Amino acid sequence: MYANTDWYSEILNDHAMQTQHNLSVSGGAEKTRYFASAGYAYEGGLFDLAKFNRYNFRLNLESKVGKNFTFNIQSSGMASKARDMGSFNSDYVIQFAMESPRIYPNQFSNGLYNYIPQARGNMYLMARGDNGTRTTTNNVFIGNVSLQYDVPFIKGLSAKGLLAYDKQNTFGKRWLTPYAAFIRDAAGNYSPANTFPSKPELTETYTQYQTLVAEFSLAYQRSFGDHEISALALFNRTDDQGDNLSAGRTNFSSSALDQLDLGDRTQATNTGNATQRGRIGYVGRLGYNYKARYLMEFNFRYDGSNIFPPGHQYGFFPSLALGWRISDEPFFKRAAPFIPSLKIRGSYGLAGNDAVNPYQFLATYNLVQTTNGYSFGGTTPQYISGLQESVLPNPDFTWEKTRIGNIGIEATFWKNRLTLEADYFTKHTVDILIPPTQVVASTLGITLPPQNAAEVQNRGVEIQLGYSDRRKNISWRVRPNATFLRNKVLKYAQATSVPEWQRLAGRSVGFSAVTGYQADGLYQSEDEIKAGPTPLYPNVKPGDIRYVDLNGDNKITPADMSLISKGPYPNILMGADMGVEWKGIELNLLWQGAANVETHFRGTIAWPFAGDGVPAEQHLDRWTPENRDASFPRLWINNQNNSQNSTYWLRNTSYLRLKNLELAYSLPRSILQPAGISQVRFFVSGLNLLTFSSYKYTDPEASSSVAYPLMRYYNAGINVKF
Amino acid sequence: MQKIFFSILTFSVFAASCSTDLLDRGPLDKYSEQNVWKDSTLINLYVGNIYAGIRSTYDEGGDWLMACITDEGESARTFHLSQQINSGQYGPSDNVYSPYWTGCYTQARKCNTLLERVPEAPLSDALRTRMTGEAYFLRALAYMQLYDRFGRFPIIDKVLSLEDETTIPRAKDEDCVKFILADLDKAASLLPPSYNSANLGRATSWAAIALKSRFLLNQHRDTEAAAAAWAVIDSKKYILFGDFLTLFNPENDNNTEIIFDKQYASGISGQTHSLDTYENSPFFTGFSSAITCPTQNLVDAFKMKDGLAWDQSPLYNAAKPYDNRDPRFYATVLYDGYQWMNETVDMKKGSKFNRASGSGSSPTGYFLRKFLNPKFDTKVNNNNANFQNCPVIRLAEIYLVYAEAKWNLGEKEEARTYVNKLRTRAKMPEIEAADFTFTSLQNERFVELAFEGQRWFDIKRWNEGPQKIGVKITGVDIQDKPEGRTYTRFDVETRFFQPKMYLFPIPLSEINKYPAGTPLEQNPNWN
Repeated sequence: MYANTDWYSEILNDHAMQTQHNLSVSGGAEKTRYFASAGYAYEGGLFDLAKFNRYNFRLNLESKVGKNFTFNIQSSGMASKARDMGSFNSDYVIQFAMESPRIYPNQFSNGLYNYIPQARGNMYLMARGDNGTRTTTNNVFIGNVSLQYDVPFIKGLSAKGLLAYDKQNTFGKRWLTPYAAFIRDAAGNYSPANTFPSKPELTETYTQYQTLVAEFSLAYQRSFGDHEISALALFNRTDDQGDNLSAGRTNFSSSALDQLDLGDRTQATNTGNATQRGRIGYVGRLGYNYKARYLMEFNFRYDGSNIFPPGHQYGFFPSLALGWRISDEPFFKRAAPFIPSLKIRGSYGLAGNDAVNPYQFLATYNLVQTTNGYSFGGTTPQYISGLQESVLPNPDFTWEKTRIGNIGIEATFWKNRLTLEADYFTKHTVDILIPPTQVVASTLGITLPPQNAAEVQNRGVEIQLGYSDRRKNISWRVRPNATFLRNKVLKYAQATSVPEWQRLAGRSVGFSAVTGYQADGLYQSEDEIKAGPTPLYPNVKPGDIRYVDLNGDNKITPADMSLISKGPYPNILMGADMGVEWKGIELNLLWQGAANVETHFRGTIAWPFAGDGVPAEQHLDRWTPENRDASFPRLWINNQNNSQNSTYWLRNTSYLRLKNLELAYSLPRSILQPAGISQVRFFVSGLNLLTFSSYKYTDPEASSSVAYPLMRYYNAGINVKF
Repeated sequence: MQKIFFSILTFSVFAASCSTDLLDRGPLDKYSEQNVWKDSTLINLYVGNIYAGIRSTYDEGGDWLMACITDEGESARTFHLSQQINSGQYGPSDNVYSPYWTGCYTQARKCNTLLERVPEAPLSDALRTRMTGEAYFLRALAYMQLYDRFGRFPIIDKVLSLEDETTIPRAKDEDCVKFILADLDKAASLLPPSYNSANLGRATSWAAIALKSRFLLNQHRDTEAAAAAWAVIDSKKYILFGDFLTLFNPENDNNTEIIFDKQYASGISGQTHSLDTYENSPFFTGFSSAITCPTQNLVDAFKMKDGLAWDQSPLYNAAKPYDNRDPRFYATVLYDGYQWMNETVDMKKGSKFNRASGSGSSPTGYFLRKFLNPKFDTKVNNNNANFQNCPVIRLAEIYLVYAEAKWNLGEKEEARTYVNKLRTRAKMPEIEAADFTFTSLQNERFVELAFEGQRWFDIKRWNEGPQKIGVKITGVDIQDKPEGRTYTRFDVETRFFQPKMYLFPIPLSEINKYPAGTPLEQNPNWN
């Protein structure tokens, strides 16, 4: 007699609550304007313990002082608190719910809870909070003060100084408490399991991060008849600093209070470290337009970053944008009166990226505390922290650069009822910062630094159409959009011994390409296996996956692997926003989809007994001599032939999804105006209500992993404006 | 009023202008190269980090490959890499022992750095000599572990930079052996024979000579192996520890038998491992542990205490098959009815100690007992803090090296003498001259050094893969019948073996880094 536990519903609720409230006011007098808002949001999780609360405010104030000064202050703040279970994160709970054997009961008939080894305890009790909680409190303050001086004797010239200060504090508290779960042995006796932890323990982490920006700029903007000129020169200095601190104690005598002081003083740990970063930027802009018909703008940035070695810290990033509003030309107005607006635009420029770890040009040694130190002295050991080289210094690397080009049109037709926006763009990234892991042998013996080593090209077309119209009381709109993307690796360092079909360079695959075998169905008989090529492993049997011998040596070896998939990034993205309104009643729909996308699925969904998992329903259609046309190989545990990366596990994850549906009603203005109210709007909406996809196992949008599921949300609310 | 605004303006201009040093700030949490090599305290920390990088068998607790691909053990995890090896389902792309490949060169680089820096560093002559010796010793140990697994290797004896050629081909076999032996000789000549108590645990000259004897035996250089082993024995610095059962307990760390150990320490800041956490029954640890399970094959290798095999001795009782065994058995295998941490362990499937199926269920009916700390307290040591030292080489192995080398040289009586010393310590009867065969010597090694990481290389040296690796692995099935508890042998699996398996395939990820002209050659028949 075995249990049949649906762990998914045992642990997870089928719905969660979320609420959101926002209030904003704006106004001002002749010299002073203000904007203020405050908000509150609450999100419940899929199990009761998980919660998220957020409060935020914003206050902007601008005031003219005297004749030539404008004083501006902007501040905003956010305080949030998230709560999760103590031992594991939410993703793990979902994985557990999917992989746990159903034959394990959650609760025995006598009321005791079962101990599940995979969960290192009982996941239901953990999700209920019996194992403690993890809370993260995050406080963010963003503020800036600026003063602008309009130079009186040169019209259009202004000088501005700005100081910005961002501060972020994160306080994390992980409080683990003991709880009881039981083992029932074959004889029916219950004994308490050694759940984790045996005594309460607490870890607190505190992180503070601050950014100080000082900026000085000169701006000039003035029209001379049909000519309009603008110019900007700006200097920016950014100073980032951060500190981390953590402390913990174990062996608390009680679970009642979660304060460090109450833990065992002899079981105390602490860690701490600090980081700093610096950046300097010089920015220039020059703009010119004639009758707003011919538009030209030149920009440049000259940025310095302490990520790079001295002499290589600065990068120059210019860009140029041109535009022509053809529809303003007299000849065009005559020739095509049904096109009230048409603009052609193009731009070309450089952008820089320095997102790698700092100090990789210096020979530095870092202290490694707990795992890489050593103890000498036998029975009275003296522990010494280890000291090791951080990274092989690279004295010669600099900014990664992207050349971005764009050509597009913006047009409207038939009294602006139809709009069209279309762009062709290229992004050619050179000097990509990447460590040469594929060509430098491990004989070097140290972590490799980034080099300016790779080159990738992305190209694409983006089209957005819109149609809106009105007949009597009914108005409607349809706005579809689509993006077509294509990328190509132009340069990537791989050794010359790597077979041509395994090289990234020259292929339309990204760096997340999957290398694997080309599958050729399943072996149907021993004779097929004997006929060759020799399979990868000696234990291959009928019902296992057959691979293609790419190099023709009549045996399957790693040399037969090729780049089988570009990874889970779609080539085509699409969406549509549509709506209809009738006497204050609105129906709005937002569709979203992706095509030309596939996933290489692995793990629990693909393999019947992954980990200590359980087969899923789809594995019923496995190969057997009676079911030769199966969609899965024969039932297997630890069959390396079948768990290789191969095209067998590629699935098309194209999808179309109704992302948002909203039904709303606004009270007529005639009722509201006397009360001084400008809008009252009631709405109900739903998120992720419908999905069309041939991929059924998990959410196609996040198909590559077993993680927190996509939630379906239902909202109801009211907006009031005064 | 206007003044205040002006001061904000001037301040931001000022802040913006005095920023030339912003891009030249050094790291806050790292020492510079100049700091380190001028400071003997920091250099000492650097050396400590190389010791910490030694790969010991305890560090593999829970993922213990070497114990699960020989007839010593079977992994309880169905997806453990050992299952792939045991069924022949592995190749160059499966990264078998690739951490040893990368780890060896990380260690070698650190040793090479030390050798290049120490001559210029502000150290006393004694310290300079010792650190040089330590560098040679630690480098040799890393290369030995690499050579054992993969055979010949690219020899790196200097600090490489990106300007250097890093795709260095594998050296000739005799050059690799010569290189390791030269390092051990240098270490032996530079290192002190012993240390004061504060430096206990550092490599000694005897440790270098002991490793050399092991290495020479594996190379079938018996005369030299016997000579090196004899030098260690004859030094009389080491004595067999009296009690095999408590030999590996933390209170006996660095006892008289230990020649070189990887040191672990208790407490918050100590270097710890997780052997106890991973290898005790889930009942004690609270999660799916007890992963490396001894086989019936190993259990059967332990003779009865009269010196006879279980199927020949009158002492054997099928209803109580674990009574009257070689006392070392009780220090090696946790079997049904074992008294462990105040519990009588019930190994029948479905008991609270040995789960019916899945994680925490022994595939053989046994759990590991050797090396585990009987006082391991999961209540205190929740955080994987296991701290008993891990033997790298001890006197018992030197006796076995000496005995085997002497046997090979035809001096069988000398061989028997040293085997019998181990049996006497174990409280087993001596083997009579008439009964002493190479098989009894092999069996002595099996039971004495079980799970100490040598079995695979012993089998390779004996060239007995088909007899000792590609064999049927058995376990015990425990049932309760009306007549009492029964113990029945059952087949766990039949292992796969081909001679090419003596050497592991060079990881494909490394081979793929070498250019077409100067390849990193794969081991024979692994392509």
